[in-house]
Order: sequence, then C-alpha cells, then structure tokens
Amino acid sequence: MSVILPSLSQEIERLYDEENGQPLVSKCVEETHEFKTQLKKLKAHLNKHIQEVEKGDDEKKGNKRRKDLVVEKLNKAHRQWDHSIKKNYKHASQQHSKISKFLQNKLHEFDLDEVYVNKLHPESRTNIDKAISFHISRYNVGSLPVNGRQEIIDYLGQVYGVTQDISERFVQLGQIVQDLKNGDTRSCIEWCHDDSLLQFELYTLNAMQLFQNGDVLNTYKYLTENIPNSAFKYRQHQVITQVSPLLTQLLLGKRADDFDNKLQLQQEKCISLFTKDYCAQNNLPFDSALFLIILSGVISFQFFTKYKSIRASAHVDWTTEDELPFDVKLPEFLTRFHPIFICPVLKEETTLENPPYSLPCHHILSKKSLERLSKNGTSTFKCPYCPVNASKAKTKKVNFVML
Amino acid sequence: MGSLFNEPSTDFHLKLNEQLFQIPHELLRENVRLVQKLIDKETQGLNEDFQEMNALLAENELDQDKVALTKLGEIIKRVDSFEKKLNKRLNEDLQLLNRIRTRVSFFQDLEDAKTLGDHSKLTQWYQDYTNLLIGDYLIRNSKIRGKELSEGKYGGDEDDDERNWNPGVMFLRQQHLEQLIDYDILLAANRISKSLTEEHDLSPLIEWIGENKNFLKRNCSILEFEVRLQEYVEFLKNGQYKNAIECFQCFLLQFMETNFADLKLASGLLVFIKSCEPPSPPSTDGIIDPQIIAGDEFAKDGNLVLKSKADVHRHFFHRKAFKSADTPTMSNAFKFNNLTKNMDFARYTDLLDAKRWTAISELFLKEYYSMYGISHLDPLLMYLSLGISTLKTKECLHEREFSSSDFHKLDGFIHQGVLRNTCPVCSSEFAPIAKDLPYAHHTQSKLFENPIMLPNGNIYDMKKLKTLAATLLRENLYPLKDNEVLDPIDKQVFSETDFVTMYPT
Repeated sequence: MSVILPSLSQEIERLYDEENGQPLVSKCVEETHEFKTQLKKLKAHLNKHIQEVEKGDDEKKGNKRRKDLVVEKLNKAHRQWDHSIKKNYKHASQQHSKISKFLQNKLHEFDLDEVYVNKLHPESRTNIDKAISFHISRYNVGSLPVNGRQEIIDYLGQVYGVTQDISERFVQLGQIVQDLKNGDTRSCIEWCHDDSLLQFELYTLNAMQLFQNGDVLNTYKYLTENIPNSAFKYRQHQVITQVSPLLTQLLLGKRADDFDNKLQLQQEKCISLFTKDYCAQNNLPFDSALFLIILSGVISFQFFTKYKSIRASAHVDWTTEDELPFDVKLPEFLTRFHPIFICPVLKEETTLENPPYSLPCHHILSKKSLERLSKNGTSTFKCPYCPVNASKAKTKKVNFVML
Repeated sequence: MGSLFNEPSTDFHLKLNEQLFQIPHELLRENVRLVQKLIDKETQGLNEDFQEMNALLAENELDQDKVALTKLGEIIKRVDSFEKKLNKRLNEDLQLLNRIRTRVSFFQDLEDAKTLGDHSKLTQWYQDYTNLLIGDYLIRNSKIRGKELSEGKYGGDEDDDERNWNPGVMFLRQQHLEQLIDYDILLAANRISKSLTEEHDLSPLIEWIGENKNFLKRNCSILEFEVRLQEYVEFLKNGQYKNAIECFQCFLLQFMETNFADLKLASGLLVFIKSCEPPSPPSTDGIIDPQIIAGDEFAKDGNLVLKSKADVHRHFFHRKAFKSADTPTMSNAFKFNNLTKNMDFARYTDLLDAKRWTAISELFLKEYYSMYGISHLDPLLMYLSLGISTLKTKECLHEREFSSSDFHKLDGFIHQGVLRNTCPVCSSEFAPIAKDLPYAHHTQSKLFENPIMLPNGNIYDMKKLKTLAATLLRENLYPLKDNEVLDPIDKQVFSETDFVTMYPT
C-alpha cells in the first residue's frame, strides 16, 4: 500500500480553493473582479453627483453627504481589496512552500545519476536507436495519422527515423489495428484464420456493433447466420457467455447498462488478440526487447539501492567484477529465455568453459567442482547430495535446453 | 512486497520519478512569484492613485471632482488590466496543476493495478512507463531541424513548430502521454545545447544565464565565466580585437578574484594571437626555432602537430574562413599530448579548440538539469544498463549450434518456432551493448519442471518434449512412433524409455 501517494494527492488538492475548486490564485482574480465592479458602480454615483452639482440643484448638504459616502465607500473597497488580495496571496505562497517541503522530505531519496554505474558506450546509440525504432513500430504503428502502406513507411522514417527493413514488417499490423480502432473489422476478418479464437471474437464484436446501431433484425440475422462453424465444437463456453446474453438482450429489445463499455472492451480484446497472432505468425516478439529490458531494470532498481545502502553502512565491497553484486528476483516471464544452473558446490553459474556434468546418481555438478572432488580424476568421491560414490569416468556432460 | 512481477512499490516509483512533480512544482512557484510581483506592483500603484484621487476629492471643487472622476476611470482601467494579467497567471497555474494531477492519477493507476492484482493492467502501465522513458530520450537527443526547413513548412513561431516535429513529443502525443512529461523544459535544454554544439551560438545560453543569475550564483557555478571566456575567444578568433577587449572589461574582469589564472591566460591569448599574425614574421619571436619549417601541420601518423605560431595561426584562422561556409565542427581532433610537447602552445590551443563547445554544453546541461532536479544522464540508458545486466546469463550471446536434418520443413519449424532465442539481451540490437556489461548474479538455479536427460546428454522439460513430439506428428513434420520423441537440437529420435529423471539442484 502506498503511503506517499494519498498524502501527495492531499497536498496537491490544498492548492485548490475549497469553495470554487479552482487554483488558489483564482481567489485573487475573483476579488479583483468584484473590486472592479464596485469601482464602476461608485464611479457612476460620483458621475451622477457631479452632474447634479452642475445642474445646479442647490441641495448642497445632501450632495456633500452623498459625495462623502461615495468617497468613503471607494476607500473602503480599496482597503478591503488590498488587504484580502495580499492575504490570499500569502496563503497560496504558504501552500506552495509546504509542497516544496513535502517533495524534499518524502520524495527525495536518491540521486539517479549515481545509480548509473556501468555506463553504456557512446557508440551504443545507434543500437539503441534501432531498438527504439523497433519498439515504436511495434507499439505505435496503430496510432499513426496515416494509413496507406507507403505512407506508414514514410511517416515512420521521417518522424522517427525508422528504416524500411524494420517498418515494413509492421505496416499490416498498423493498418489493421487502425481499422479496428475505427470500428472496421473487415481487414482483420480477412486476415484471421478460420476457426481461430480471433475469428470468433471478431464475430462477437461485429454483432455488438450491429446491436449498438439499433438494428435488431440485422443483428439477429448476423448472429444466427454468421456464427463460425467451429464455434459449437470448440467454443461452447464462449457461446454461452458471450453470444447468449447478447441474444437475450436482443429479444428483450434492451441493451445492458454498460453496453458501450463492453463494446469498447471487446474491441480492445480483438486488437490485443490480433496483435498476438500477428506477431507470432511473423516471428516478431510480442513484447519488444526494449520493454522487457526496461521492466527488468525497474525491478532490479530496488535491489540496487538496497545494495548501495548496505555497502555504504557496512563498508563491504563486491569482488566479482563481471557480475552484478546482488541477486534480482525476476518474474517467471523474464527468466524463461535461458536455463540457469548454479553448481551446488561452487555456487557459480555454469558456463561453456565450466559446463554441468551428471553423476551416476543423476545429481549435477559443474566441471570444475567435479575435478576438485575427484582430485583431477584420480580418485572416486561421494556425491555431495546422496551416499552414491562416483568417479570422473562415470560422469557425463549434460546440456540444459529450455523449450 | 505485495507485487506481481516483484516490481517495486508505488512509493518507490514515486521517489524514482521525483522530477515529475518537482518540475511542475518549480514552475508553479515561479508562477506564484510572478503573481507576487504583479500584486506588489499593482497594489502600490493603486495606493498612489487612490491618494491622488482622494486629494482631488478633498478639494471639494467641482472641477477637481471631474478630474477625480477621470482618475477613477483610469483606476478602473488599471484594475481591469491587472485582472487580465492575473487571469493569465491563473491559466498557467491551472495547466501546471492539471499536469500534476494527471501524474498523481498515473501513479494511482499503478497502485490500483497492484492492489487488484491485474496482470495486464500492470503490464500496460509499464509499457506506458517505457514509452515515457523513450519520449524523454528522444526529446533530449533529437537533432535540431535546420531553420530554413522548418520555416518553409510552418512559418509560425519557432516554439510551436518544434513541438510539432520533435519525435519525442510526437510519440508521447500519439501515446496520449504528453501530460506526463515536461517536454517544454527538455526541449528548451536541447535547443540551447544544440545551438552551442551545432551552431556555435552563445546568445541563447547568455539569455538563459541572464534569467537564472540567482540560481547560478547560489550554486557557485562557473558557467557564466566559461561562457564569457568563450565569447572573448570567439571575438579573438574572428579578429575582432576591440570587441574582445570590451567583452573582457565588461564581463570577465568581475571574475578577477575567482579565476585569476584563467584571466591571465586569456589576456595572454590576445598577445599570442597578435604575435601569430603572418605580417609579423616568426623570426621576430626568439622562442621559435627557425629550423622548424612552417609547413605540414600533420605528423606522419595523421595527428595534428602545431610546431610554430604560424602553424597555430594557419590552423585556427585560415580554417575559420572556410569553416563558416558549411562545416562548423573541426574534423581533425588533435592530440593533447602532441601539443604539450610544443612548448607552451597547448594552453592557448586548448582555449581555441572547438571541443570547448561540447564542454560548455555539458556544463550548461548539468546546471540546467540540477535546477529542475532532473537526472543529468538519460534515464533510459540507466534503466537499460541495469536491465541488461539483470537479464544477462552466461548462456547469452552464444550462438547455439544446430545440426540440420533431411527434413527441410522440420528444420524451419524448429529453428523459427521451437528453439528460437527470444532473449532480449541476445537480440541483434542489444547483443553488442550487452557484451561489455556485467552478468546477473544468481544464487539459485532457474530451470524447468520434470527435467529428464536423453542419452545424448541433453536435458529437457519432459512434458514440453512430449508436446513437441505430438505437434510434429500432427503437423506431419516428422514421422514419429508412439512413445517416441525427437531431440530438436540434434534431430535424433529417442524412446520415452530412454528418459532419465534428473535431480538438478
């Protein structure tokens, strides 16, 4: 649970006036406006007074009193305005100072520049630009203001510097996603495979769109006639949860309350399903490499700062230069790229030079530890995990393969 | 930690992105300061106006009353224009506060995704976060488009123009994230920095220094000195000695106490340059060995060697005329070492060197970013460096060897689908970068379920190997019998009875 966020939000809300919901400065504006109107009114009075004096109405006493009243009111208005605008300003200024303190005390903890220890070479820029090109093509191609094939390629090239060999792999993705966003499912239906889940979801989306337009008969016709043949065979569950309610609403002639929202969700579902299928079919990674690396970076950040504070307080330093000094626990989807085997004796990750070996008892050690335990193959040794004896000759080099 | 991906807490994220609140807040304060100035000025002015008006009214003369009436009219006008100015500040306030609110709700989205345990929402959030970092990177690093080009196309005011083509801004707009970054701040920094490095123009920076004198003074910054020194050097380079001396007197002398040595050098430079001028032959100067032929500036290894004052002059000043045509930067970087050998020229040539532009730009960016509490280095690069190391295993960056089979279609299926390396660190973009970064540190193996060993020593997840066999059979890619599997690496067929259950730790 976040502690800072609610209090930050609260502090920010204090920069708004409680009554009118506007920023605090608005009070100054309001008062000035009021002051102006008052002045205008009093000016009219003064004007009238002058005119009457000019006309020669000789009730001098009354006139004098009226003028005094106007003058008094004028000065009173001025004093009040002067006082309250300063007061209001002071209040606003105090609130801002409070926020300054809040930000300094609650949010200021690390200097980001200090974290960046292993700096990337300046030559890395071209590769980073390429990775960004790939990322932008993958995620942004459906949000461009152009739709034609060549236009998309040109746009990505001109605005983002994406080379054609990258951009052309995403053109169709962009076109179809744009169509779907505009509520047009035709290009996607043409693209998708028969009997795929995507086909069924598009069918649902289409029916919902028809219903949205209020054409009950057409919707009914579409629902019954266009249902993919495979739907009853493979997707009975979806038929029950998605098609049946739609039919019921159709018969009752009444759409569910949050129908618009559901339609939107269905559209998003189709876009994400299509993107997945498209990437799989074209051997494109669904998540861009850049995204996965950034996510890993964010996750490891906390371990890094923890390590730093420990190091600072305990004055210990890390010795292995080519490894990070801390173990980052990543989620499963970020660790399935390569198998990682840590030799239980050496506590080191096996490498090409120090590969894993299987003992006769099917426990696994690294080559280096095997050589150490067998004294370079000269003697038998007991497995560190079970009572079985092993000799170097009886071991076998193994290779972990992630499928 | 209460997280789905083992990601940091929302509070941690807030601390990481302190600048998202710090910058608009800084701008808000600036705005409030402007309001204060406005109020101070106008309340005082109105006080005087009222005093005048009261004095007029106190006369109790009709004519004076009439003058007072006009005065009151003026006062109303004044209040009206004050109201308009205040309204402008209010709008600015509103926009900045909206930015902050959008950001608060951005982090609220993160908090919500975490409390709901919503995977896809959280993934989406991190995608947005990544896009923000990319936008930031693009805005900071994009080249400034040539003036002719932009004017021809839009013709409007330069600021608006820039926002319409800067790739970072465009990207964030298309992703609807533009409220989450203070791109005006970053764009301004980039504009000033690029005008230094690409156009060798000091004026935008001088203007900025003028606006932020107090901040720089508080930080004891040497920026202003360096900039004025550069201005002086540029005058000298262009032979504008009078301007140079004027610049020295007006702007550099004030640094006499703090930068005495530099000032000595600067004045020395004036004499040095004068003495380099061709009309005065080198022989008049006793230090220069007449044997040295003022000829080839470049030694055999291609490094620039300036052996005499004439060399120096030719290198820096003849080039100048030709440089102003179209190549602003000096292409040949000469080596410091070579120069130090050449008597005392190095201290002068260093001052004349075009590298100083980059150094000043760096110095400026450092001050600028620290003013807003923004990290000086690109955050994207920081996350990339950390992220690559976190993912980098000992197996990364090694090409796996495959043996191919007689079945062409099978090979394609296996290499494209089954054994395709999807590791981001091994991708063609990141592999060259990852090469020089440290590996992740692991204390535990991260393998797979049900490991079984085949007779060839390859260890697989048993279920996945069987699934693969079933797929190969279904897709008619390889004729397998019941209870047979195919090793995708060496394409050998094994029976399930050959499986050896393994116990890796």
